[in-house]
Amino acid sequence: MNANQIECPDCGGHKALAPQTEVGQLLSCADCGARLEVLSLIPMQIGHAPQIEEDFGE
Amino acid sequence: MAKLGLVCTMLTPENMAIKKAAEAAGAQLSIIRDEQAPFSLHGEPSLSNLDVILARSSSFTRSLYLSRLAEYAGVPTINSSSAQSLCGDKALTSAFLMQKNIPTPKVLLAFSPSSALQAVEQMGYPCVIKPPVGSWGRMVCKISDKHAAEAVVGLKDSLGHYTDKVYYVQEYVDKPQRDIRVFVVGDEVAFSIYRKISETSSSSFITNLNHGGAAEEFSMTDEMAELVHRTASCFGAGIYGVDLIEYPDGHAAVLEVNHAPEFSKSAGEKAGQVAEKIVKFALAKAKK
Ligand SMILES: Nc1ncnc2c1ncn2[C@@H]1O[C@H](COP(=O)(O)OP(=O)(O)OP(=O)(O)O)[C@@H](O)[C@H]1O
Ligand SMILES: [Zn+2]
Repeated sequence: MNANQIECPDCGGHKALAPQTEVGQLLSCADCGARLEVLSLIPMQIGHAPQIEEDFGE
Repeated sequence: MAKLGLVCTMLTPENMAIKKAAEAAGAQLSIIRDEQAPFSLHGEPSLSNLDVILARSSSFTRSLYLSRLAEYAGVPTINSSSAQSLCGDKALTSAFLMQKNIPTPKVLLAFSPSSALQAVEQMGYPCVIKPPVGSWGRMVCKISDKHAAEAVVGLKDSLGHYTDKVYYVQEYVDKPQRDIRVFVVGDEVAFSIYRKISETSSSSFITNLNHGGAAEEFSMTDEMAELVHRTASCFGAGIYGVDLIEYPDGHAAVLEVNHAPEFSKSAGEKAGQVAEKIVKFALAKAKK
């Protein structure tokens, strides 16, 4: 796996990160739709984005 | 340069755009993620050291708490906790608008299944039941007859959460296949759009973009512009997403006011400019 490749923690699918990606950025897994967040760039770490709660919104 | 705090749950596209605009404006930005660390109730340093705060948590509850803490620490908060507490609860929003004589659809509030069914009968069919707290069109139900009313009220009663037991029953407005979102920053309108039901919409009456609605830029009539300005000034200078709904006779009413409005989808190419306006507005409110 390349340095800019991430692995979805849910389905194991691989995805390449865009070069300007920042810590905290939200992504969605192209394979399973999981909502992910970039936790760190060096080392590359991916986790789940905060869970949507009932009081979330605009 | 002013220390600007961005309180948020996650770095949504809007918050990313604000971060970029803050950096470009030379502000000293700190991002306070509401889930990542505990907060002291008295003089929380991550808040009290700031000159101004943009409250953009995805969570209404967290936003209110953190804004109150910031205000107690003497840090100006946008929007103010008092504006947020009104906007975040549709029943309070409606009551506030009515008290200010701002046109808004009729609402009855009920706290039990039987009084909710009475409210529906009194409102007449069709009407709309929606949760007082919530967004993105979730659980907004058009009630076309008594069977639908009984089903929705029964489901809400069995769901268990206390807010499901507050029944906000609203007059149904037979709007065109669209409603209107006006994004206000201070006394300026950053953009106004129609939110239109499209072929990909997941609902035949919910226009929200996350339900597949389509955004289309449009210019407000003078009457609408006046209504929006009056509304925003009642809530106090801030950043609002004012939703208007049109009656069949063409008159518009305020459906609701959003206190942490999104703009990445709705503003399209203008999103960067909207973020710049937001940052400029916040910096002007910073402690000197
Ligand atoms: N009384 C009503 N009559 C007709 N349509 C309505 C009514 N109330 C809500 N709608 C439609 O339902 C959708 C969601 O409504 P509303 O804005 O009240 O909910 P919300 O979950 O707060 O959404 P938002 O993300 O826009 O804040 C909108 O498309 C709106 O036009
Ligand atoms: Zn996946």
